Amino acid sequence: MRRFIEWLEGLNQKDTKVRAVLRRSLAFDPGAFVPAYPYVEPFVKDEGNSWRREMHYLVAGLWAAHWREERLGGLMTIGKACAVYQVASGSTSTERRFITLLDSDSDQLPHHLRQMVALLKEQPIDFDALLTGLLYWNDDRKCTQNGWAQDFYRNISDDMEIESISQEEKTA
Amino acid sequence: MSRFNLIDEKWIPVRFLNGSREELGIQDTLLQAKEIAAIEDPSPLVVASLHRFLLAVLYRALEGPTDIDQAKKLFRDGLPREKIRAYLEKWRDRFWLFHEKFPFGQNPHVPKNEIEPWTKLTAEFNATSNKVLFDHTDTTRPGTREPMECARWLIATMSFSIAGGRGYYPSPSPNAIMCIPLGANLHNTFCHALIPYPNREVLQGDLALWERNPEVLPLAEPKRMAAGYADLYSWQPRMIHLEELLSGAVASVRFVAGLGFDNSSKQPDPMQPYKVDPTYGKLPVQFREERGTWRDLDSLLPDDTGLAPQTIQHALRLAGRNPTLLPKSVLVLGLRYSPPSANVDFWRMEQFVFPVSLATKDGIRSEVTTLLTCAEESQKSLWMSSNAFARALLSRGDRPPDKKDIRSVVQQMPVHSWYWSALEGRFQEVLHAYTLDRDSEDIRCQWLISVRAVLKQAWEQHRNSVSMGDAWAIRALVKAEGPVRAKLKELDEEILRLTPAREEA
Repeated sequence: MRRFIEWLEGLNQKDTKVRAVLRRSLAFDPGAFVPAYPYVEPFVKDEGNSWRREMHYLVAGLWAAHWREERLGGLMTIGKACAVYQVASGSTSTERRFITLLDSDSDQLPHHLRQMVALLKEQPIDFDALLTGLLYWNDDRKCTQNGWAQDFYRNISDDMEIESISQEEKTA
Repeated sequence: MSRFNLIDEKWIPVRFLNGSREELGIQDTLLQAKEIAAIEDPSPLVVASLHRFLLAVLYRALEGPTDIDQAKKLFRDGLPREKIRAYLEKWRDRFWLFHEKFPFGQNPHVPKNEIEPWTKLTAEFNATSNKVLFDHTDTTRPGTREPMECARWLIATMSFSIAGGRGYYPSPSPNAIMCIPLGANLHNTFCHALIPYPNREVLQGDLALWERNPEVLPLAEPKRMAAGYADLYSWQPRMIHLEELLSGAVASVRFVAGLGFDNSSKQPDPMQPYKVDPTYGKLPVQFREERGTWRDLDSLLPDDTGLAPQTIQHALRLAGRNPTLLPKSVLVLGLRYSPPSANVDFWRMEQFVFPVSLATKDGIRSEVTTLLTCAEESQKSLWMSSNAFARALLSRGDRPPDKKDIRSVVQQMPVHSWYWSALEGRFQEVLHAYTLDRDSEDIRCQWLISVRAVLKQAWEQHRNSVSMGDAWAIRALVKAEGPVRAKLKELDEEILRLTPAREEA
């Protein structure tokens, strides 16, 4: 998986239309846009797991849409990127969008993720980590969703107020 | 006319050292005390009350002890059999359970129309107005009970009557933890609890219930102070008369308010631990519903404040520095109710084994207090996180959730009871680690490691139960974990600070 973004970067250096095709693939269901096949299919060939295949196409499209020349700074997980965006923009709706993203089922996920990544255009996103998380999206223990939530809330200036209610009040 | 004399009849349930069980009369219980392991009954209230009653008999029969030397002599040489026999013989006529003028522990002047079913004597069976869940005794047709049972419940009523309704006065100390240090046999147990009279004047003024004539009702003096230990242990907060049937059994009782106990703050009960409240001063330590007694274990340990139960302080004085003479364990028992409600919330009986060093090492109380305080503070962080979790779970917009709703979510979280029950086992291990040559810092470090592990595991369990929920629950979980994480970090640092010291030692 680590090598997937490296693979895409390599293709991008050789052929400038790669990003354009992958970007366009976002308008279709992941894995349904045939012109994108040459760029992703070699990486997921012989893959029987359709979810795994679809997530590679989705991340490839998101990577292409998000690509900027001379990106500065270290890569961030999606959770941290959302937190940084919220702090920088002061937007109160980011958290709600993020919650909606976390609660997405398989069908809604591509749509919400596209919107979120579009919002985070200034933040350098770690797409390898994003892909790893998405592959486990449907896990019963929701490890990905929990991990993203931790990244988000631990990087946001905490608005949590611990109420100074005494222990006695609890049982009163 | 006179029937069922408590001196000879079998009514006190005991377990012998060989494991056999039997019921004995007062005389046999006292004279065979060295062969008896313990008094045992399903009801903690009966167990506590029988100890108090037999101690009252001993105080009067022995007319002492009046000082520590006399107490030590009793402990060493045994109870004087002839004195006990002579005393019981002298008062034989006052120990009939059924007697026209002097029924034991009762008052024949209770009006005949004040009739209640026998269940009124007990806390565990339905009363006419206070129903007990899962007990199906019908108070309109209660059936009959044997005299030996009624005698035990009569004694328990004396020690554990609660306030409320019909102007009932409570017993001298119904709502407190009673501590009875248990010896290798019942004789030692008696000696541990037989604390000397403060002076001879108190001894001379002291009378047990059966040595007074039944008072005429209504009482001319509804409240008074206890004259001494025998008076205190045989207090009569209810005036009762057992109604004997031709069969010899009891179906109903006459039952009215009894003697009030005045100025209890000036008369501490020897069996109870006390604490100093900043507002109300010296108060007895009480059982709390969601709090195991081990969390107050430090209150049972003696120090120079004198707040530990006098029974425990006396037991340690008797033993001196000889560990073989120390009590083997401490029986902690009693009930809990919330005045003015006249319902018993619960009753409890626990037994703690006391490692020798806990009883003999100087400054042990403050050390144990420090350990327990550390556990309380860690739990506070758990509680703060739980509170923050509940708040975040309930709040999805700008409007803060209602405090009552937050509290009710927190109360439903099993994390706190799990924390304490897991820590209880670890605490017992730490107590056993207390030996005279063991370093206190070392024990503290071991305890901190346990507290840290239990705190972490408690939160992990909560996390696992929530992390599969929706995004709002996950959000609440992540937002709430700050206090627990901070506490874990603090514990880490303290453990690290103590560890090199341990290695150097």
